[in-house]
Amino acid sequence: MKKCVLLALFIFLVGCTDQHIVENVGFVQALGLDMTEEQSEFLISAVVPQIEPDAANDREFLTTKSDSDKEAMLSLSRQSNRQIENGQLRNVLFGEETAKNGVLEQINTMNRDPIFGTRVKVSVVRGKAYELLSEPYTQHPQVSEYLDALIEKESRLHMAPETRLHQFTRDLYEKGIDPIAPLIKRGDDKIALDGIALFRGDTYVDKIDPVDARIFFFLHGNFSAGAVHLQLEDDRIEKNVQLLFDSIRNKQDINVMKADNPEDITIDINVHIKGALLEYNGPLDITEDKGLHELEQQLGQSVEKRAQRVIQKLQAKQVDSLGLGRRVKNHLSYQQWNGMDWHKVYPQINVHVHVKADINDIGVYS
Amino acid sequence: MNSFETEKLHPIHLIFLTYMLQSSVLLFSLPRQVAEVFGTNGWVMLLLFSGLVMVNIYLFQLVYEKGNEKPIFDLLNDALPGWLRYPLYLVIACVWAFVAIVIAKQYVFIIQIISFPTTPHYYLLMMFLSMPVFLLMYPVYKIVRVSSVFFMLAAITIMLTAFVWHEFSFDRLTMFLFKEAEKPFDIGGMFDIYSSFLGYEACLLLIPYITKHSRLFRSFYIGNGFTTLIFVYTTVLCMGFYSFEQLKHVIYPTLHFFSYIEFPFLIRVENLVYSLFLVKALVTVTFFYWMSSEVIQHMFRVSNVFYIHMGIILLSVISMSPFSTRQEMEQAISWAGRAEMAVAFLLPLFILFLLGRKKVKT
Repeated sequence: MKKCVLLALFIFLVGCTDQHIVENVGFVQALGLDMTEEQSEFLISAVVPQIEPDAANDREFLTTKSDSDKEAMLSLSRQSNRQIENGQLRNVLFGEETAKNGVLEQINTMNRDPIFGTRVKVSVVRGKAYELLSEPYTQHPQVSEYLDALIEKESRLHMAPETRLHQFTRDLYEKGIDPIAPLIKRGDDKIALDGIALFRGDTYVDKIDPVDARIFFFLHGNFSAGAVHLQLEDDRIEKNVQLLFDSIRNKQDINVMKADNPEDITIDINVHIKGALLEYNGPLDITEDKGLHELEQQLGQSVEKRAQRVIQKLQAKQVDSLGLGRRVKNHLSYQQWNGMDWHKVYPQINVHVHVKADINDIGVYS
Repeated sequence: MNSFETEKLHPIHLIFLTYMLQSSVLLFSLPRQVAEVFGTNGWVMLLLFSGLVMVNIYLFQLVYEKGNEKPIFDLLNDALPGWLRYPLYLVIACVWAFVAIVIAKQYVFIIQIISFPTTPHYYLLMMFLSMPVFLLMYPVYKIVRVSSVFFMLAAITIMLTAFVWHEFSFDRLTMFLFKEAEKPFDIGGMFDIYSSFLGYEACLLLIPYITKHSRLFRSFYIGNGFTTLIFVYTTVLCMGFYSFEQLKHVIYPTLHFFSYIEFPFLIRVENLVYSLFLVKALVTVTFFYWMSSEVIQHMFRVSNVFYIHMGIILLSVISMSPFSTRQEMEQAISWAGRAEMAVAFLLPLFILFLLGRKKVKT
């Protein structure tokens, strides 16, 4: 009898609260955060997939101005016949101006709300996120899916960083590394990757151009993907030599040599790249071992030169996007590290890049 | 004939039970607490705490051996007069019931934050507490076996952590020991961390239900070793997954990192994880109610223990009703942990004292 009573109690307790009926909920898939022209308010744009079968557009585009992004969500909800939710949010885009003003508050808000999750991709838009999201891309009517797939593909190929809310927050709070994010721009009826956005703390300061993105990733860590196009100078011919190095596998290793004086710290970044040579129009005979070895050396020197330029840019802008500080930290005592203002020391230290290039093959036609 | 008289508790069941009792909802916040109190590489201190737990279990073993393998209630009933015994029993029963309701409510609180923000908490609490009520209808032997089955479900969560390994970096652990703590070696914080290990005191009440083959204390030592391994692993994983400052800001880091896992067919894995954690919370809550009810049964003779169970559960729910916000819940957890710790250490010492006094008299 008592089991029956309890069972009945159990059944009656199974109620329906906190319902989220899919038809009644508009899941925001991409969210843009800009500053208004007066720099006083946020301009929030949201892309919600359309479910009305007769609607002319494949997406519902909502915008609002507000002091806070949370208030904006309430305001966005008022513009739709559906309840607006962030549970399926894939991309957060910060407009250039917003990113330059610092994004700490917005990042903290997103972390505080469990609905966002930690896998939301964080990107910076050249110009305004509103303009990028509002464009009716005729070849890609579902802008949120197009954007998501584009960023995902680029990060898989190591042309853009895979910056999710977790990585951004992690690097933002860690001493000895600064966050990075993909930088995207609106093109002619398309969205294009525009390099890597470099942050100093929570503030966007500069970017790495797309042509140097691969070089940046050689320095950033190990990976196995993608191609790099290089122009080599050769005295034997007048024009520059074009070279395409594909199917790259990269191994990176960082050595820190500490010194009494923080400015005298030396960091050696050893990069070992292996790949296939798919294009070469230079004078060397690459079917011979001698020519191939010479080309490997030229290739290594070329990458080394460009990598050194990337490092110089990062040091000049005082952004430690490669996380060199984290490595230095592990070579110092706590007192030494704690007494050091890393962002001030970082531009002074010596960073040397050493690149070893191996050409695995030259394709299937000699 | 009761089933515990015909069947014995197998050591492996007891090992699983120890882990299930020790590792409950407090594991969600343990890595943050370790970071706040001990700072960088604070996981090392968990090994010391585990050693303390071993000492505490050894005290229980001494009670078992010096008391000629008698149940603790027999020892206390023999040595103490009624006027001293009843208040002591009442205090112990209240502490264990309070621990049970605190864990239940904390679990409900977490699922409310994540999935059911507008559902009234008492509604979810009723749903949750109906399960211990069902379990308590069975003898303890069966509850222990159910715990073993639940352990298999809980083990899935351990395996799921493999999917965040690629985001782990030893560099983030740093070479510094006990630096950058927010509350360095704060006594209150250390008590809270030690509370995560509690639950093993259940072995004291299992004495009447074991045989020689159960190897009760050896199983609890091994179980505690396994729990320590999981606690250290989880804390190290969090310290290498989050940056150190970030870890201090994440309220439930153990739950939070599961939200990073994504499968082609499943996202937001944390929703699955806290459902699996239900079984851990359920075992702990059921056991503490059972322990409380065992004590009450030595105070009153009631023909139907169901009424005792219901009475304890209802009273504990009422006593816990003023605690509803996160700060209040943390306060309640803190109090419950300290009271539980006091019982875990003082009770065996008190019984050993009584046994020593009896020996001197005779």
